[in-house]
Amino acid sequence: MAIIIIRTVIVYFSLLVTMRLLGKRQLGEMELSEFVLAALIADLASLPLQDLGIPMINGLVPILTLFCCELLIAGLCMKHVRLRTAFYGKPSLLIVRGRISQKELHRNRFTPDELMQELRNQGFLDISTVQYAILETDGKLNVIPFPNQCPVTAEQMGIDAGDTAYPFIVINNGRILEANLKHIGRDANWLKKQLDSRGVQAAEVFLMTADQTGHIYFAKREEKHEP
Amino acid sequence: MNREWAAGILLVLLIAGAWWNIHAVDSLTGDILAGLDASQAAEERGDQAGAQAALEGALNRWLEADSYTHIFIRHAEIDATADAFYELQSQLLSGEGDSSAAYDKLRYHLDSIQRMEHPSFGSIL
Repeated sequence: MAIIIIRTVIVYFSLLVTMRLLGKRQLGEMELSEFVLAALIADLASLPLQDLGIPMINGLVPILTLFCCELLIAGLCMKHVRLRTAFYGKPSLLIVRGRISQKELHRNRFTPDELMQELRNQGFLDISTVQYAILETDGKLNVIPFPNQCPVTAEQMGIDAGDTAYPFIVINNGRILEANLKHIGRDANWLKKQLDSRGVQAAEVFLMTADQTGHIYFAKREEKHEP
Repeated sequence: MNREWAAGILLVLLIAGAWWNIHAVDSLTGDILAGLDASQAAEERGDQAGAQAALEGALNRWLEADSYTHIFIRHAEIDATADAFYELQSQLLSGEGDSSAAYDKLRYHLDSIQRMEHPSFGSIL
């Protein structure tokens, strides 16, 4: 058991260091430690399932050890910026004011083709329109265009866009969600009035959403068709 | 910070469990090895009944720890040790040939189980 714990810790930190050296582009929208955890846990969990000769505890102990390491590292990284940089790295500026930083590109093992592909994925064809392209610590590329390339907002146009609010589901497949009704400041009486005005019972509703401004989306449940 | 504390405490408990396990396996293998030594000494004195009784005691100690061994030890190791026990037992019962190799084989398996739980450079790597 002690050997399993020590081996797990060694493998965990070895993978952490290896993946850190490989660069962020390997991660695919996961933080480094999450990626390492995901890579290890799936295999560890399947070990005692595949081989009945391996005691269950040999699968559980490394999973619990990894869980502890991950929580401790995440907690410590929240408190200590330097530790966070050491484990997760820093965001890298691949494009600064329309100019590619070749050094950063090379450091992150990003080829120009891959950079262009990422930019195209986000709708940018011309690098000179990009003010900043930032490779985040989870491997995601965030692109910020020059202000003159940004879409015009309603505020810039002087248009009153009206108030919008988050729509909550209040009836899901005939089931009333009381907690969501409370979120929008309504009660069962209000809902009954709304249903009565549409001539239906809650059980007949497929989906009903409502927000705090009173906007309602309503979809009646379809009749079952006999084959 | 509660979750981090919980993780830290769990890690400490796991390490404590591992430490307890080292002592448990030391105690189990130590008892059995002592029984084996007594059995071999009796056998060398020509006391076949004493050798068989001491081996029986060691075998019972192994079988009594069945729940522990099945939770913590690889089943291949358990089977190999049980095989070595019964091989030695049948050799003692038949009274034919030199049984020292069978004693050594069983000792090797027990040593291997003990070594497996002791953290060392070799066992970790």
